[in-house]
Amino acid sequence: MRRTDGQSNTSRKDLPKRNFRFSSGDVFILLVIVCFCIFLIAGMWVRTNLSRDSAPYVRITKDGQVLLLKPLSDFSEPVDYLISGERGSMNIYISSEKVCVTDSSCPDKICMHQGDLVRPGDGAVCLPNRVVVEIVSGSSGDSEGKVDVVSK
Amino acid sequence: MNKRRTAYDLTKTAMMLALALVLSILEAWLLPKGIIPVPGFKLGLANIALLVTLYSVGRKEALLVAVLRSLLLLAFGGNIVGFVFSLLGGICAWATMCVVVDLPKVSIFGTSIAGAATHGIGQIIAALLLTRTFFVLLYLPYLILLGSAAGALVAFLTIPVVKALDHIGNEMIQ
Repeated sequence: MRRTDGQSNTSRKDLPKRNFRFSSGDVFILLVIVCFCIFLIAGMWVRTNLSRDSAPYVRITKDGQVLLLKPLSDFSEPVDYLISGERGSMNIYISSEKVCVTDSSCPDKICMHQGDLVRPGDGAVCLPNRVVVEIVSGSSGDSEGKVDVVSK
Repeated sequence: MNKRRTAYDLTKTAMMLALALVLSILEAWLLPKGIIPVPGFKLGLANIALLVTLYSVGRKEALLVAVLRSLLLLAFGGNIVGFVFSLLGGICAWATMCVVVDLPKVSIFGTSIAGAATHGIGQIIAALLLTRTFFVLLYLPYLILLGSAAGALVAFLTIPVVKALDHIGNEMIQ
């Protein structure tokens, strides 16, 4: 006898039910996800905007250790910051207006695709080198830098 | 009869593992770097194979596909960072899909979307572990939102495969 209900050949195990139509439970799942994301985005937006007036700092972190934490205003003369290590090397251009990763030895170059970092909250991550370059606002940059060092 | 079914399940799992590998490589070509400004975002087409295995073979086999896919991608010229990312993302997605699939009134769309969203969470956990910097959390909401949209597409593409496999199976196991 031939059965075409789709479950006949799989009834041995407790396989998931075959529900292929968009149902009410899916709407609920979508709502949970969207609410979670809005909550996250709002939280970050508030956090960057609260400290907008304080001076921007550039922070370079490698393996969770802060390599460089300085106000951008210190770089009236543009500087090429070099990172070299066993994993690879990076070249980071820092001026008082912008920071950008100009060269990296990593294969994917995602950090270089991030382009110019201008405002607090901007950043570039290089996972193969475990390096994070970001612009933070003065106050939060100070406290977080200390916490990061302590937690190491 | 029973042996035949076991062989059929094994074949399906192996096929899906091969499909997952091909799709992982294919989607790197489909989405060149820098087009979408969220680093680490992928369509997650390999989730098609994971979903098909979950729906037509079983849960344990789906985990096997997720883990072996990451391992084989590493063997086929991947790097260790990509391995940690796909492994953590895949396990998170699998665990979530196993739970969500049993919820009442949830279709394959909800399962796939929930899996894609937690895949993003798993990736961010991997990034947190690797960089030890909270900055990477900034990408989380965008990764989840884009991933959910991709999850709906993946579910849409999975349905015909599961149906076709059921059809073939009904003819083979008689």
